[in-house]
Amino acid sequence: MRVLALLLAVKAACVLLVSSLTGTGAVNNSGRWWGIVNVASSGNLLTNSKNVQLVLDPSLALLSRRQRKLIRQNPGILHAIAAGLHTAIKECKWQFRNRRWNCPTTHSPNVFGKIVNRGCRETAFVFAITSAGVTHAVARSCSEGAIESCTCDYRRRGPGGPDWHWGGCSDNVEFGRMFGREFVDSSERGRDLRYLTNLHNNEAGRMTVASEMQQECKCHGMSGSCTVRTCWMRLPSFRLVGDYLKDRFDGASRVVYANKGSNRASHRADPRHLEPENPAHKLPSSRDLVYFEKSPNFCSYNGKTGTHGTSGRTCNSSSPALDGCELLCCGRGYKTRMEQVTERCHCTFHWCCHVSCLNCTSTQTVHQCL
Amino acid sequence: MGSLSRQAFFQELGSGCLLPTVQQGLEQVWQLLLICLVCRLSWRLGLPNFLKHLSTVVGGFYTLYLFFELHMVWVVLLSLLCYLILFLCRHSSSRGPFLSITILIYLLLGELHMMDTTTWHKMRGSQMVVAMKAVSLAFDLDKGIVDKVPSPVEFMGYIYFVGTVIFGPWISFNSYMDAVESRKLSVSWFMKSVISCVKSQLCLLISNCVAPYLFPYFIPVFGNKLLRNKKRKMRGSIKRWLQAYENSLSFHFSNYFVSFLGETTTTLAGAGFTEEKDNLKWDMTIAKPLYVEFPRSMVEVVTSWNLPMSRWLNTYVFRKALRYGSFTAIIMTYTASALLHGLSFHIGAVLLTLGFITYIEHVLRKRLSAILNACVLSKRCPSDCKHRHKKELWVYLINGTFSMLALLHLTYLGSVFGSSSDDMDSDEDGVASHTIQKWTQLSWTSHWLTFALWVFYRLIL
Repeated sequence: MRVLALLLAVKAACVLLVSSLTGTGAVNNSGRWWGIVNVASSGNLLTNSKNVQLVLDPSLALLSRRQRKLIRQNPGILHAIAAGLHTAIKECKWQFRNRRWNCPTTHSPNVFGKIVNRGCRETAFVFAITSAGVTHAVARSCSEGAIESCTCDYRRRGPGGPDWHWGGCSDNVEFGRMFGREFVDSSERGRDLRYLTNLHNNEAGRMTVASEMQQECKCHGMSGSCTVRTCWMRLPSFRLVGDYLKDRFDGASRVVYANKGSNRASHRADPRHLEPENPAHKLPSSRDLVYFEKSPNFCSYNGKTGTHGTSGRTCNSSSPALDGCELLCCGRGYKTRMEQVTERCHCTFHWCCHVSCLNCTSTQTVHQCL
Repeated sequence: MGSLSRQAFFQELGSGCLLPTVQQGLEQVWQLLLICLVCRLSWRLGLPNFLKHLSTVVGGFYTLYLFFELHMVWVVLLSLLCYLILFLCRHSSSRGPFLSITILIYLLLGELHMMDTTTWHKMRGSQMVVAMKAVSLAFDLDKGIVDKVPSPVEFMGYIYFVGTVIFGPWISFNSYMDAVESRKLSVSWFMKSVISCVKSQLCLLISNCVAPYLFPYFIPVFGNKLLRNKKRKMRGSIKRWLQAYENSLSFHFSNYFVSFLGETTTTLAGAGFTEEKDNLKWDMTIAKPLYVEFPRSMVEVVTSWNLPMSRWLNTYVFRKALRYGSFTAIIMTYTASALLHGLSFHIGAVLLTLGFITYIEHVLRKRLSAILNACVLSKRCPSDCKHRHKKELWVYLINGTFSMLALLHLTYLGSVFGSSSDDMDSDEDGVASHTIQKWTQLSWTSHWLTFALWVFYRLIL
């Protein structure tokens, strides 16, 4: 009996040791703050949007001390962050709906799974789109007055700079970018390639939001003179940001840690930087996505890399592209079944005011990867 | 905007456009409205007239400073110059022409040399009002409608009357003096101010957020086809015309915004009423949007665009110039209007074109109505007119054709007032090439049509 207890104790100690070891292995908190999206959706965060006193909110446990401080200093901003994350995740899923990796998320605090600890294109996209989402949402909330510490950006009023009198309220994208830099980037630690890559991709997301903005102005006055001038910054719709980043995903460049031995003269000022793996390529611009390792093929379940595989996914039997059964199922083949789908149809509107519909049942062919 | 779907567009519209527009619209005018109200209330206290004039001068100066900061000196300079001329010519009986020439020189100098165009153009609205007031006063003095040269305080009170100094409109000296007597506060006065204010904000919203997106989103003429092509270079003349219509609609509503705002401030400050016996009516009207959007003729559009201004042009330019023949008078009127509006290429071009269009329309319709003995004149027939044909179908048909023609002209002319014209003012060459490019896109339709109508007119003469 005692032996058994001893064995159990040893086993428990081993488990503890191993878990603490893996814990130290994952010491970087990369994207740990993403976890607030799950806490936020379950908690009361979304119901009381303004002036949430969130000191005791469980989601804050996922944040670093610095991030908590930022949230305390900007009342109302946590709501914007959570909303931005939601949009970003939705957009990620939409952009990748037809690919083998379809941006899977979980309800655990570790939202995107193990993919974030890698350095492939998908990782780059996740970092960029979440960073863009936060910038976008914070800027939008600013202009709506939902964040106490920022209001309309008066610096962007007009061509005359700060002393241009008439002008207006623009979406405060500058605040969004600054906040994003402080908040999002502070969860990255280290000095290695992963650190630099993640920061670069975060910045790429923010830059995309900022550079896609358009200022719209209009003059009003007698005889078309400019007595009253209304201007505002239009943030791009987030779908546009998603489209743009997806383009950059397809053209992402693979980078290596710059060898300090070479190019010493040119990079003395900034010793840590990224270089394209192929020296013939040009340096990635600040809006390009970068990655440093090849993507796994995402075909089958792999607990180590955290990929779920594509078995069970619905595919399109007639498409030759990535969503076609051939490619999506990685050549494993697929099974076909008929499914009865009932939907409302032939809806008519009756005055006033109700809509009556019939239920139509149709048979649809569904293909699923093996 | 790229290619948003319609649903996404309406979601964006609220926070992206409506909210900031309303916010800015109110933010920029609430002080002006407040000052007008304060001015009116203080006039009710029964101060001596001298203090009343002085208070409105102070209010006017403060609002000018609010809107133009130190650039307001150019307006002040113009007003001082005007009074100087009036004073120097106090024994002459041709003060009107003298003052007009002085103002003309001042405006031309300003356009060409004195200062950079951006600030000049920003204030030309206020300068226009000042110039119109001074000229009208001078001519009225010549004619004896105003019996003696007003004192400096009266003159300055008239020029800087807080209700009209920023957004116009022109009011005559006599109606200003009536307003100084300060009618009592009434519900109808208050209602008129509030309704005008609401209307002005609505027009601002339409100008900023509805008109520019009219066809792809609000009225889907071609379903989703336009949405997909919006980003690509527009091909097909129908799309170009639709875009031109959006542009001109946005421009129209910007004008209505300013007009209704002018109504609001003027009424709020206690001017702009008519008096029939003991019945006081607060009925100031500056623009008639319905007459512009659904026009009977271009002549009607031009008068309904800004009623006080067209009344001014009619009284002080057209009537005076009529002795040189009606065509010359019309061209002179439009030239005067262009000078007052500032010598931008596009304004000049539009006004000159308007001059030709309205003249040819007027004479052609007059001729037609004589031949057909029908009510097809540019102006609506009065109920007791002597034409034989009034309500026949073909009369409506002819009038309808001319209405459609007017709509076409409006679209064509309005297309040059681009929506994103913030840097247009600064660069004169840019304005000229923009205008020509826009009209070339629409293949100079209006000009050709006007020419064709003129040929037709000469044929049936």
